Amino acid sequence: MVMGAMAVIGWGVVGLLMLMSSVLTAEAKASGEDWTPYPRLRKEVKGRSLVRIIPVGTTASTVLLYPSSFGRDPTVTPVTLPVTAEGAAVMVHNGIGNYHWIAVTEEQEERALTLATVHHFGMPGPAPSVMLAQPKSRLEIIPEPLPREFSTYRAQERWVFRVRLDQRDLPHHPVTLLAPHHPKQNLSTDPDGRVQVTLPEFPQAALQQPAPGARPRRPVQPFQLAVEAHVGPHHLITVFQHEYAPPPMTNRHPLLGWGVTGLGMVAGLQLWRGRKEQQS
Amino acid sequence: MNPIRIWTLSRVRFWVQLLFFVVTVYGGIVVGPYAADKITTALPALSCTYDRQNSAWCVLRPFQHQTSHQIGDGLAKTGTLSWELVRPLGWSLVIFMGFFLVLNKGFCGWVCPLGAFQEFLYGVGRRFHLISRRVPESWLGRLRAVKWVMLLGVVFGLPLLAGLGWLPGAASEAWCRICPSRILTTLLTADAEQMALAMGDHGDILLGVIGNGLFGFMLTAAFVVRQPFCRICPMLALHAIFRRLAPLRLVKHPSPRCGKCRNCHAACPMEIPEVALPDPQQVFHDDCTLCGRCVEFCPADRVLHLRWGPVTLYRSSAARFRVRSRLELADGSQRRLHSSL
Repeated sequence: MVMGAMAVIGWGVVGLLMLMSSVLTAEAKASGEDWTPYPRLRKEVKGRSLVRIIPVGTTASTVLLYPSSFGRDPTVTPVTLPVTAEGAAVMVHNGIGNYHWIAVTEEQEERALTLATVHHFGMPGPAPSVMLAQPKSRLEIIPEPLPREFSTYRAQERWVFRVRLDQRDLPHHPVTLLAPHHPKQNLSTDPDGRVQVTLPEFPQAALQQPAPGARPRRPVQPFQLAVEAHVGPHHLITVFQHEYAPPPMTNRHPLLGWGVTGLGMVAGLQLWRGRKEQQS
Repeated sequence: MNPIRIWTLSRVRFWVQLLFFVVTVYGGIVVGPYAADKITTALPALSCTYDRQNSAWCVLRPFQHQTSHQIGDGLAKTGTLSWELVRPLGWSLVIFMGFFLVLNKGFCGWVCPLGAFQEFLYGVGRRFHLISRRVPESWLGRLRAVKWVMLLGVVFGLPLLAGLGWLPGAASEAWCRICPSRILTTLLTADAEQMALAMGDHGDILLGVIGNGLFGFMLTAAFVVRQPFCRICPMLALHAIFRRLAPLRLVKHPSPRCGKCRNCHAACPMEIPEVALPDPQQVFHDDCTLCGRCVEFCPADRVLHLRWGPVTLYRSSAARFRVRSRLELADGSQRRLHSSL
């Protein structure tokens, strides 16, 4: 009898634990915490010339910074920055702004993982095309192009990325798109090694109105583009991470915009009146 | 073909304006992505930063951001104004000055795509013989003050108050929200996003209504009024502050006829009456855009000069005036249907 009761309680506890586990997993999925099997980079902007990069899920102890003038100025080389408990402090290089490439590399025996992102420092600097084209790892994902300073990737937009292995384009190769609240998408590069990526819909849960009086901030969600390749005994993994914003017309009213413009035009048309009198 | 028709200053300026219009609005098609970094970072205001394909750098946007996010935020947090807070604003000004020293206010008259667009519309109005309205001289004083209100109040004042937390966040880029260039240049690249009214908080809606209304007004008013928006543009005020520092300028050696024919005043797209006065100190006015029309339409030899430092680039001449006025009247009206704009 006692044994039977203990068995019931035992199974009950197990069941409860399983239930809790499934609830927690569902919550994690809903909040998008487990959206990627790869490590992630968390970015905290600390000012106009400083950003803190916090690698998550990796043991990497350094961050590599490729300044915007990398490849243009032969004296500019990648900068190695230590990762502390607060992450790595990445500063604009020599006061020359624009996009900087930030990468974390993790090597375990034959497996090499490169996790990269870009950050735009809001000061003038050279166009990032040369910096992007420079080889930075064996397996690479290169954005072609990056969004402009005041812009970003946006939901349902199509963007092109180039995939290279040992500086050669990688045709017909699988690429994975990962984003919170979305199943992973399997894509493939074309014969030129380019992959066209249509960013997924922006999750409604992430659309938040700013608090009254607060500065309007564009809601963003992270995404990753991942590619893997086996070269001999080496397993190469490269992940490019960035963020994307809601589609263009979110929180906008086209008809009202045209209507108000029309009213302005009507007001301007009042100046056309009296044509004949004045011309005579 | 009559060579005079090709080489009038207005004709040269028309082609320069057209070239810059194409470069600034569609330059990205030619030079590829990152057009701003490649060709326009040093220019004070070209294709709007909201233009996603060809976006460039407009000094007014960093002015607002730095005033709001740097100075306003910093003041709110520390209560003191330090060099560190002001320095980025200073750098933006230095970049602006780099280009300004070459062109001075000629930016407005030769480069600005919004200014060119308004001139094209006015030219269309002349072709169709629409009425031409001039701003009454009694209004000029008040109208001229508006550009300073725009610069000090809208470009710097409102963003500062937003940074301090006293105004809604939309005010942190109040000027961009009402600038017609934002709507025009994006529409010209088939992007209607900026035309749609932002429906965030009250600040968003209010600034959106003002911006769209102003854009609509400019579109129709420009057919009958010369440069309606340029009169209140903060860029005009910004250039006016430093206009004595740059070598390009308008110079007058008055003649006894000055102030009598007033052809130069009639030719001026900004309708500056001071240009007709005999006083040479007043000729290079706050509102002058260095377009050179007054020089072209001056009927006297060597009275008005466009000069870059000691070098005279163009000067008035009775012979040129006679030929020029055969094609067009000083107020922009066409003498012949196929004459120059």
